[in-house]
Amino acid sequence: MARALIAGIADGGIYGLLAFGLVLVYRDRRVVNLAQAEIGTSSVLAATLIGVGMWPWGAIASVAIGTAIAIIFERVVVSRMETSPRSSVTVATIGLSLLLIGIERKFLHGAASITAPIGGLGPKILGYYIAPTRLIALGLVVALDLGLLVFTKRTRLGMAATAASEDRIGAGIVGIPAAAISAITWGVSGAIAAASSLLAAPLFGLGPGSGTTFLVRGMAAAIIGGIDRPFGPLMGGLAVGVIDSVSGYLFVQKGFPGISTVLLMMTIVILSFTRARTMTEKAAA
Amino acid sequence: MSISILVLAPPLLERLVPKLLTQSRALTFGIAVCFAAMALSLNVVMRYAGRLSLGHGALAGIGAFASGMLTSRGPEFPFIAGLIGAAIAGSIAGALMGLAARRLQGIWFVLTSLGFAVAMEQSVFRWRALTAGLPGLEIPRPRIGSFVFDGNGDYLGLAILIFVGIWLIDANLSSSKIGRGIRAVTIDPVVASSFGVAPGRTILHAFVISGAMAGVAGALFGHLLRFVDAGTFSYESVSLPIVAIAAIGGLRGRIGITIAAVAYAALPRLFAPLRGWELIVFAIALIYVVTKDQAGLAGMRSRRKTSYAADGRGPTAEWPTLARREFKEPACQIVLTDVSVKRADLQILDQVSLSVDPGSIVGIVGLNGSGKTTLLNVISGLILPDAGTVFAFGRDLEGLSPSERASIGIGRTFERIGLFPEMTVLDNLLIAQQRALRYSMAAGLSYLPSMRRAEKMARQRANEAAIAAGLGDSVNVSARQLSFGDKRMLELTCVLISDAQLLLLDEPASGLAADGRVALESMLTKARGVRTVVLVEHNRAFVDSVCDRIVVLDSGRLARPSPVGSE
Repeated sequence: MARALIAGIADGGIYGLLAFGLVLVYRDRRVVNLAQAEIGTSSVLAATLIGVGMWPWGAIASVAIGTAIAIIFERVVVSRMETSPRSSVTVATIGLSLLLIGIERKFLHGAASITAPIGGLGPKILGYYIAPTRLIALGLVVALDLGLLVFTKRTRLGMAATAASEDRIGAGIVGIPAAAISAITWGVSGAIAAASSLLAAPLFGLGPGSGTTFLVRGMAAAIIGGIDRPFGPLMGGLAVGVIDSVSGYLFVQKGFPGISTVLLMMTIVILSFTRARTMTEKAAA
Repeated sequence: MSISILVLAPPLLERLVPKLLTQSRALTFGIAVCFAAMALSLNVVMRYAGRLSLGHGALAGIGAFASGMLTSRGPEFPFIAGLIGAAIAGSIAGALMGLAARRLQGIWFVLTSLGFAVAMEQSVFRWRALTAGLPGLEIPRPRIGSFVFDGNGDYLGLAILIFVGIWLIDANLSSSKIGRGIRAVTIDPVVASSFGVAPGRTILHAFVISGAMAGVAGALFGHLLRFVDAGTFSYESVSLPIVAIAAIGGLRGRIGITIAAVAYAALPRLFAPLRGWELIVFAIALIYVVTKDQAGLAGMRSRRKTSYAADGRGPTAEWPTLARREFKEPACQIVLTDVSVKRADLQILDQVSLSVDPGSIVGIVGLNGSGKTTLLNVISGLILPDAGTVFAFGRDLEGLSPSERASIGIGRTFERIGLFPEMTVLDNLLIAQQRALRYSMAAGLSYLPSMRRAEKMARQRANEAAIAAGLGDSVNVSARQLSFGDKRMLELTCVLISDAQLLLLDEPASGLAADGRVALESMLTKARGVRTVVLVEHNRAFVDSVCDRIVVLDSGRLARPSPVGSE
């Protein structure tokens, strides 16, 4: 049980990273990027196929590809949908994830094993080895959460980004480059997507369409952590990791595999009900 | 000639069909038919009800497992029982989704449906108690007597037959009051409830129907493949592609969806160079479609382009008589006692007591913000009073929802004009008669004579009313395209033919041209004695000329009654 708990906390960093990317894009234009996890998967698969080895050039290539996919999608599709309902933009991100899955199946299925960027078993806590990639992920989430907090609260650009997310036209009138901010936001989230897939790959394995499993966990982490709360992605990621591994420990041997996805879905539903209500109340007030 | 064809055709078909329709091609087309059926089921909630569901692959999976377990385990029920079981299981799961959809807006529902899809795929479909667990479930082909549909071509014929059934149900759905209700609720739940269409229940109906369709489609797929496991209905191989098929094909209705499904599922398997391109092409097409379509995915194409002869402009002499439809019961009396509404330290209505005699016309006047519209909202149920009671039709209205109040005979108009802009004038007039159409949901979906008769009468009445209102030449124009005055006339016409006995009119004369105002005056005069009217209006001259009694609201309080004609 204690080991399951520690394993969950260790996994939390990866889910937190995913959640961070989702939250970042959501804060920009209130769009949920349903392709977030697939951007990571496809860029890592593409980088492995180039065959430069995983560390460090493969990793750099993955992050660059992830950034490029996200920026191109933002510029070519999302920026042209300013006046569309948000649900249409969500459908467009579904289109992107389908496109990436299609490309993975058609061109990238040959991409084989991905080795961990840093080898070794990692430190041993309570008889459980925590893989270095998990530690990197945890550290990265903490750093990103902290960075975002400082960025939005302490820098002019961060405040400008917050203003642009609340009122794009108004922000444009006072001279805030909302378009550039959106492109940068998507680029950073693309890079984070690649990084999270990179760190998850040696532990969970990547293949065409494998983003879905990560997506629903990242989504749950983002919703649990809360979209506008400081350190939300970290907290949400840890919560999802713990739910995942503890429920796995308790139920899987008893003939109910994957019970954690059911628990996560129920968490999403319950939180959606409460969060959706507070959102409408805010809108009404 | 025709006889020779009849004689020659069967042997010819027998020779040609096996050559053209090989086992593998029949399987390919079978898969396409199943995808088309799944996309049709998704279309019901996506396009009619405006809810994007990422969980329809899982609904289909539930149907497949239900039918598979029924036909392969225990007493090994026949195929038809498996289909019925799949429809029931699918509709129950659809109902659960619908319960979420009626509460959750936009993206929150999308995320919930995504969670549902993944939870089904990764967990429930792997439980040994409910499915065959990880090894997957072998599903038998249907049999009739000693004939087993083992050949893929034979099964394809059966699948097409069932697909045609789903197609017809969808067609009946969209042309009956059920589909109209779903669309109305999606466009504007508040206005829909003012015509007696309950928003929550209607959305639930859409999901139940869609779930049953998805369940049958999934069962069809399972029996075709003879095998299902958790991966058969995975998020990325079913749920996502059918979103693309329904979104792209749905632009051209059911035919479009069928063509898109064939293009997605059959073409790459028939032509080797296309293999693996289907997801890429459909993804790009999906992105293109949503970027171009500013209105979003909801909203059906307008059907039926029949035109009606122009009938001149302006309301005819018959329009006012629409108000003279006789009622069996006497027109209702309405009594408000000490009604108070308070919102955030603001006393909007302060102990308002008002009694309106049956068949009389009462005008409420007052400054902006004096609580006039709030008073109408309290009567029609949109706002719950903090204190006080509303009595009408001999009963206390407390606890009745807006749509229930509409159903017992309270009709209303809105200051902002309560119409469905995306629907045609005719459909608006049909929605207004929704509660008069008494046929059951089953009758509507199966196109029974009772449904056809009722629909025909409603259509006829709608046309007559449109001509009377001077809208005879724009029955098939969407309400959005009407001028402001015509919209106002249409809204009033809708309330009149909804057979409401108590009319709550919120600034009915605003925006009407002189002839419209004259028509409104004569309509209200005709209504006197057969309907009870409460109207809110700024135009004092108009109020003076039509009302039996005028009450003045001042900061939520009722001022002394003022006699008609005084200033």
